[in-house]
Amino acid sequence: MRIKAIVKYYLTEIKTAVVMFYLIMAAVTILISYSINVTTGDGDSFVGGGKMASLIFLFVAGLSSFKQNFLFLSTNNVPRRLQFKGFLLSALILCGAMAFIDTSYSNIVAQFMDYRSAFYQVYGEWTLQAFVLLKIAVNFFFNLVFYLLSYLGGYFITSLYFRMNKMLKIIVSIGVPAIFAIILPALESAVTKGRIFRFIGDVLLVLGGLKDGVNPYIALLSFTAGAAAVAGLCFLLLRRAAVRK
Amino acid sequence: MSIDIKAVTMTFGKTTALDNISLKLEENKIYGLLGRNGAGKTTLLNLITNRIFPSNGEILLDGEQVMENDRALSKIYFMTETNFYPEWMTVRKAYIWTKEFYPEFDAEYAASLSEKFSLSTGSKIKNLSTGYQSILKIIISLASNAPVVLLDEPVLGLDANHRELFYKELIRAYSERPRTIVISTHLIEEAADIIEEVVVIKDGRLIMQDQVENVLSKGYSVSGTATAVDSFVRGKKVLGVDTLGGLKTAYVLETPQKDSLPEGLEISRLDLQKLFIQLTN
Repeated sequence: MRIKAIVKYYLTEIKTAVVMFYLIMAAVTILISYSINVTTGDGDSFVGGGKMASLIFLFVAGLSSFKQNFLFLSTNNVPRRLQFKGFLLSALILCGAMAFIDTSYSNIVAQFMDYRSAFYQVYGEWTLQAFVLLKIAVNFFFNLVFYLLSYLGGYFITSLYFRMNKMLKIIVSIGVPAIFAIILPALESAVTKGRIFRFIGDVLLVLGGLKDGVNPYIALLSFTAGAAAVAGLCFLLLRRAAVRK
Repeated sequence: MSIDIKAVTMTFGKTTALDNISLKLEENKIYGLLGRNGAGKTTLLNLITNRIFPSNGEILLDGEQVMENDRALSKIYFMTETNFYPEWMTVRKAYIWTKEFYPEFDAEYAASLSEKFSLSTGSKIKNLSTGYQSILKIIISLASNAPVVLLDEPVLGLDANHRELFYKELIRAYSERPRTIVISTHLIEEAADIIEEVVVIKDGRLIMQDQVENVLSKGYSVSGTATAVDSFVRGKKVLGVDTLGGLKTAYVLETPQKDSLPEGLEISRLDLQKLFIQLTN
């Protein structure tokens, strides 16, 4: 019974932020479309980037979804396992709703102007051959798992920081950016001569279903597996977390 | 609902906060959990509510493990010293959300207590003073109607009037709907009248669990001149002594025998606070 209350709490916590986000997005879209129409005057414009904004929004929302909610739910004596179930359910509902809005928006707007969402830009070759309903369904699930991955990623980072002691926090906060911004590029140019980045690029292409042709189903599977793996890690961090400020 | 604490040990690094504690908290009794600062009282309450995990041992609520057990944990309300409510939350919202998690929560009673304590339900919790934050948590604890209520320093920051009101309301709520209540407090004298059984922890070890009446009847204090007191208590189990000038008071743990009392000495009943101080010194 308390699972309902947990999901309700998570969704209530984020409801206002989501409404604000879409109001801002709508205002920006109208403004940009209007500006482009005014400047080009052709009324047929290419607009994108909404999905990226949703991803960033969900990542930030994920970052702020852990500590306060964990402490509040613990104040109400909700066991960690149940808290996590509630979080996952609310994440599914939130990401599902946002994926639905974004997919509907991009498919509706595409009827009136030259609008292509990130999915259509990346998997354009596949979308040319697929049925309309299939295209929309795959686009929706693609958005859903991508959003989930982003939201869970944010949640994972804060839960990881919550579990770490001060020394570990300092090491990770300095170490991780240092590895990616200094050590890895230096190693690449001096020793491996671009092989590491090429390898990473290849892995991303394979996971995204973009190596040897275009296949969004591979991306769907990769993102789903990724989201499941991050969710598993989040649970491992949460299951023994102590309730403290 | 009864709580069974079985051989619980809790260590933080090299520090042993609780050392092999075993005790049983019976249904519908009011317990006083006493101990000096750092004795392990809050750690014990945190373990009962699974906020932390024991290094050893187990805790059962009516025979069921509390660890990660929603059925057991939903029957316990724990009022903590620390405030874990979100910054945006108002008092009214806190009541609404508590009702979601504790369906037996009595919103009307909470509203009437808010009036009695002059707590504005429209205020944001983060803006409340320490005393009013305690009052909010007291109200939620009493109105939660949970079968087990744990109160950690419930009167923190409360003025004398509010403290008196709290004790009255606690007794009223308890008599209307009995439940197991554990009060961890340093204000022993004030809480002594409502506590039925006392649990004393010293340096992480349980040193006493008994009915308050039993404890107090087991001992007495004897006062008089230092020499007279010294000679009287020789061979007796003395918990401790207070000396003021030439006068001395000794706290003796045995049944008083007034007939054998030498002239010039006075016997009086132990009070819980004095006994506690002597036990934990």
